[in-house]
Amino acid sequence: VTEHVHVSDLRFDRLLADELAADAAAAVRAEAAGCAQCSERLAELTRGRDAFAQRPAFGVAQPPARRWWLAMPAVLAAAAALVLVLRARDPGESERPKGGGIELYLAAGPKDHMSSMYLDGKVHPGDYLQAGYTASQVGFGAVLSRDGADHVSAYVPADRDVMVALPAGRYLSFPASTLLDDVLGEEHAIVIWCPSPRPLAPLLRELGARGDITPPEGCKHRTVVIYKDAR
Amino acid sequence: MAGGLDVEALYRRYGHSVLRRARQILGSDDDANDVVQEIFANLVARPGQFDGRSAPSTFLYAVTTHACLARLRDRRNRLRLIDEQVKPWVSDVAQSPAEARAAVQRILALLPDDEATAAIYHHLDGMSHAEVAELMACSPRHVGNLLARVAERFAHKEAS
Repeated sequence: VTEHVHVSDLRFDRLLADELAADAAAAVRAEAAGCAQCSERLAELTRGRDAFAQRPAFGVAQPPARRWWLAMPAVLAAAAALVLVLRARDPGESERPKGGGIELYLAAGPKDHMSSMYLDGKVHPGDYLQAGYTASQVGFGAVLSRDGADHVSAYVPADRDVMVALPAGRYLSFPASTLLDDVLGEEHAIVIWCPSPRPLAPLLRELGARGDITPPEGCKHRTVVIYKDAR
Repeated sequence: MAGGLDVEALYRRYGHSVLRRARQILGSDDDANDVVQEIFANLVARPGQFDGRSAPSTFLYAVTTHACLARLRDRRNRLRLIDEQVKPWVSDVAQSPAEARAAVQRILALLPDDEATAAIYHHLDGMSHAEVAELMACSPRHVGNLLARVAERFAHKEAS
């Protein structure tokens, strides 16, 4: 085992993150300039950083991850209030929290007043849809939709065909909310949690065909019908 | 903000590094993206795990390494790796960086945690012994010992 003589990725990462003091940053740049392989590596890491910057926001600036969901169990229990905006469909076996300690929530409304949507009974284009959950173990999830024009899509994650990782906890939000578009009518929204990451394509196909999904073994899901009308 | 920690800012500034290292360690884009999600979602849920006493890069190098090793040690992966023909990655003949990285990915799941971590930092991240020692909060001599132990372990495996 021999010592490396090139600049390490750690030092380059610290440079690219502006963690280094001016003299230390200058030293790293000078070392990189004096070594072709190091210069190439720095350019490669810089390209990687710039490409990553094009990704959508992580979603943590969305409604508070925990506090907002604290009111949800009461809301979900109050069917009379819930039906004003979100008519929960007859819950199947997979929707009822049992055994695994999984509870799934779904709500919509203006970005800063999502809970208030349950009071005025309206969902409009430009409102946000946000899923939440309580889980006693780390899992994976997704939010899927079939809109009023029967178009099927994944809201979360929006950029790939596999579920996102979800840490264990109570009343946590999914890592992103969704801005509802101007397609009016009845929209079927589904939030699903699984103990292992699952591909979304088969679920989306079934959602498109019949407006609901058959959850894979070990998974839990909740289906909600949203009525969206113009402002 | 999550508990005073600006996770979005951390994601913007360090997400590329977490993703790149996870790709290097796991050799899979999908798994690497899951690790990125997992790490930053965990920071949102439990911001206290980063206490600010170390640089964010130091903290994220450690949690990324830990998360990737956990995946590699998944039972299914472990069985697959054990079944593979494990080749030595330290020998008298210098390996190319690409060969060394591929070999390390195959065997990481089989190593004790401290040896695996040192091997990742040194062989995948290209850190010196001193840099590895800084991240692992130990002496450069101990790092040398860990790496020598790894080399010996797999040289022995090759012989057997």
